Amino acid sequence: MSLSRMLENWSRLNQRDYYKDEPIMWGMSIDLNKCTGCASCVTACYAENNIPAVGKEKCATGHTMHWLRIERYWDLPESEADLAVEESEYPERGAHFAPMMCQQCNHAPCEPVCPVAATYHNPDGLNAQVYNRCIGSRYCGTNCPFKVRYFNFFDYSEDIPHPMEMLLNPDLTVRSKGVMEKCTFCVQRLRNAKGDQADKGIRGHVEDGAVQTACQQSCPTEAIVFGNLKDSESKVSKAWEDHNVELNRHEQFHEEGERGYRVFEELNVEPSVMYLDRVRDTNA
Amino acid sequence: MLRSVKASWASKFSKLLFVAALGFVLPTGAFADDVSNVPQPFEFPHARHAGKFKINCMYCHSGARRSKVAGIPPVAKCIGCHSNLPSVRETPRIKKLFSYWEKKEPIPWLKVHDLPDFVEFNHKRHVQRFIFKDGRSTQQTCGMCHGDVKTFSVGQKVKPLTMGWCLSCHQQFQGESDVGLPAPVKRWMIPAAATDKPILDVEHPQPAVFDAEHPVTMKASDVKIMTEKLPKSLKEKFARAPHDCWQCHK
Repeated sequence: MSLSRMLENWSRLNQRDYYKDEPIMWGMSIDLNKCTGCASCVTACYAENNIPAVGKEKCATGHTMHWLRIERYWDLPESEADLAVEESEYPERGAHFAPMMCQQCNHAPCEPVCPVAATYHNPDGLNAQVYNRCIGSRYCGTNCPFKVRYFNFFDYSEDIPHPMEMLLNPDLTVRSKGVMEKCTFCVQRLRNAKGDQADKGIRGHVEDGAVQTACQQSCPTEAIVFGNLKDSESKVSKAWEDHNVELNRHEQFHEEGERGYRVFEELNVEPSVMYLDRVRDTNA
Repeated sequence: MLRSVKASWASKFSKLLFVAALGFVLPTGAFADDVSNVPQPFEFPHARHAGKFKINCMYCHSGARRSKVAGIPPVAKCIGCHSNLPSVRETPRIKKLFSYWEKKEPIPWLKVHDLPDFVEFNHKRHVQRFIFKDGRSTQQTCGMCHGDVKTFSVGQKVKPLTMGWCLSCHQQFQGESDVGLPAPVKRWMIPAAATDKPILDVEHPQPAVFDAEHPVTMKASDVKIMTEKLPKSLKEKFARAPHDCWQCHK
């Protein structure tokens, strides 16, 4: 890697639509109405991406490791009646869940702060992480507003007892100590899908549905939709269109029935993941 | 005169000493990362298989054309041929091979071309590009990274397999891809009966061309559809055939 490449990576951040002519931009849509918080996506992510299970103690000390987490929100009690319910044995507190993974920001705050350009934006719209370039400064994790970057504080792979290493997915590397990691949108699957297309002589187009991320595949309610945002026929770009969510817009304006939003849009980080707001019937 | 001769002898000796010392300090392979001397369970003569009998690399390393890793063949693949080769049955290597077969154990081959975990090398992409699209010979294509294997006995790492070395090729081939052009008409999968030569002696067999109508790997359902058309006598025979044409048609 040359210095010029690194400077190019940095200056790219200020240029909107740097990759606007590229044929693929991976994006996601998550319907929170459908999400039941079952965490099967989390389990699938662990299995697919060789993520170590660090355990309770390390989580308590801030050494968490999960590329995809389920965030849980409760309704605040508003009236005295709510407070009375609160004290009952099984209070109805209106739990709702949001799967939170790397949002693959188009103006990613993690990218310009990396001193060695280990994290960069690739032409497919992914916020890529180069493990063997990472020196573990953890600036990117600090600068991430979503807190979805995780650091290998230990060599977790060494703790795997003998036959269990057979469980590891051979398609991607096992990260070592001192390396930052995060959701890649299952880049190994994306690459395989692109390779399959290239065998047929097709470049720059992956059929919608030909590739699934692990979380999408395992979601029992099909809340997660993944695909190419540049392909106007894909399910995900239709979902974005239906809910009137656009890139390069800091605030989404909704009409009746449209409930799309992106997390922390006001920070102008341009996430590639759209969430569909949960609608509840509070009168029931 | 005598003195000068002595001096030159002394200088020669000191040079020799220096070289010997250097050799002692720097272990062999310090530069090349050469693991060609890994102690394999027994010698596999690539020279006989790939060189003398011209068996296609992908007959044994059958993963290369369809997956990221080329793969090491299972013992069953060795036995598949060697159970029909009584002439070499009593040689020490084949005896050892059959001992693994009888013990029902895999042969613990050691990996020679071992890259770091973060390296993403995809055999399929390279094989599809150079053998299937460009129609290069298999040994030439595999040789780009694995050297002239048909002259080896045990597999050796002869190319550095470093990032810069990969780039030297990637810069050369950039932009020359014929992806998207109509596939060449040549077809490798000529039925053995249609050629005069015995199968093992076909010189540089032409690669199969990838097209949807003639897949080299078929699903069980596809095999069933194909065998439906055959006469009854053949049908029963093909019902238990492998689903991968390449297992026989090399």
